[in-house]
Amino acid sequence: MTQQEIQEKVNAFLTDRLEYEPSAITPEVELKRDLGMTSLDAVETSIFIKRTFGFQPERGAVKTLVTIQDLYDYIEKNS
Amino acid sequence: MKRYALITGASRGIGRAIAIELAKDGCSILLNYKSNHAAAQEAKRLIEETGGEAELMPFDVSQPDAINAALDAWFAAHPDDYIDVLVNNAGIVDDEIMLAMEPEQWHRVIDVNLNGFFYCTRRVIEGMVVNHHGRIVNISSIAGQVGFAGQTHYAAAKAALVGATRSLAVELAPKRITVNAVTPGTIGTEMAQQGVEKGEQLRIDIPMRRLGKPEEVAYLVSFLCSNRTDYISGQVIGVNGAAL
Repeated sequence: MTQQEIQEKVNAFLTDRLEYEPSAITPEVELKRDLGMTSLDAVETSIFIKRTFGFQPERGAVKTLVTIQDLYDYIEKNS
Repeated sequence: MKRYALITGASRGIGRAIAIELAKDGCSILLNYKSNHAAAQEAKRLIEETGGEAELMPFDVSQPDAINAALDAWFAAHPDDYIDVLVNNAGIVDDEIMLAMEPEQWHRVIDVNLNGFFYCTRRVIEGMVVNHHGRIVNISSIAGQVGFAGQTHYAAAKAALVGATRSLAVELAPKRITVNAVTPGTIGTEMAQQGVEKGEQLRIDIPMRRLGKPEEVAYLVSFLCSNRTDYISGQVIGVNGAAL
């Protein structure tokens, strides 16, 4: 999967499933501080990663990611 | 899309009545029981008799490995489905006054009545979270609200279920999953009948002057699991003939 495909899938997940404002989805935005990602959102993101990219994030790994760019990079590095 | 409902302890009594009612509502029933295969088969037959469908899912709710094995197999066979309704009903009593209670009695009652809720719910809610929909109903008891001699362990577990219901409801509300507790009073199940046959008096005065019927609990659970209850969560509702 290309970097662009990863970004498109992640962005679609953030807006369609976690219901974050589409205008707020930029790489430098912080997941927790700016988007308000909760613990439950982080778990849902882990499930999304597992089902979409085929690997299971370690417990709590998503919560340690700061920005959307970190999320892209984490998926690219592990998938 | 089929709507699947897992009811624990569904081979007899209140659990069986709930399974039958939810099947009438159109749910495909995952009928859990521990070991009474004949009773589970009979419950399945009763569901099918009314045009519903059910599959047996035996496991001990106090054994997380057994729960995971059963549900892993189910999810593998149903990769596009999830369990939308979970009714944590499995429970046991083992009455004893505390002075005579063995630690094993305490732990066993807590394991089934409280820890079983944790093990089953934790395993099932992933699908609900992903699908942003779900109904969880925890069958507590009036015993968790008033004191009965001989039931410190049972009352502790059932009261804990109420606290857990409220917390879990808050946790899962953003994903549109509702979590409620039902607290039956004295219901005319085999378990209650055994007590009457042993000459025990009813533990509480029931203003309606009769035992409740399992179906009367099931009707409430059916409503709580329906699509009319999106905004009802974290609630504790009694079915007790005005006994509380």
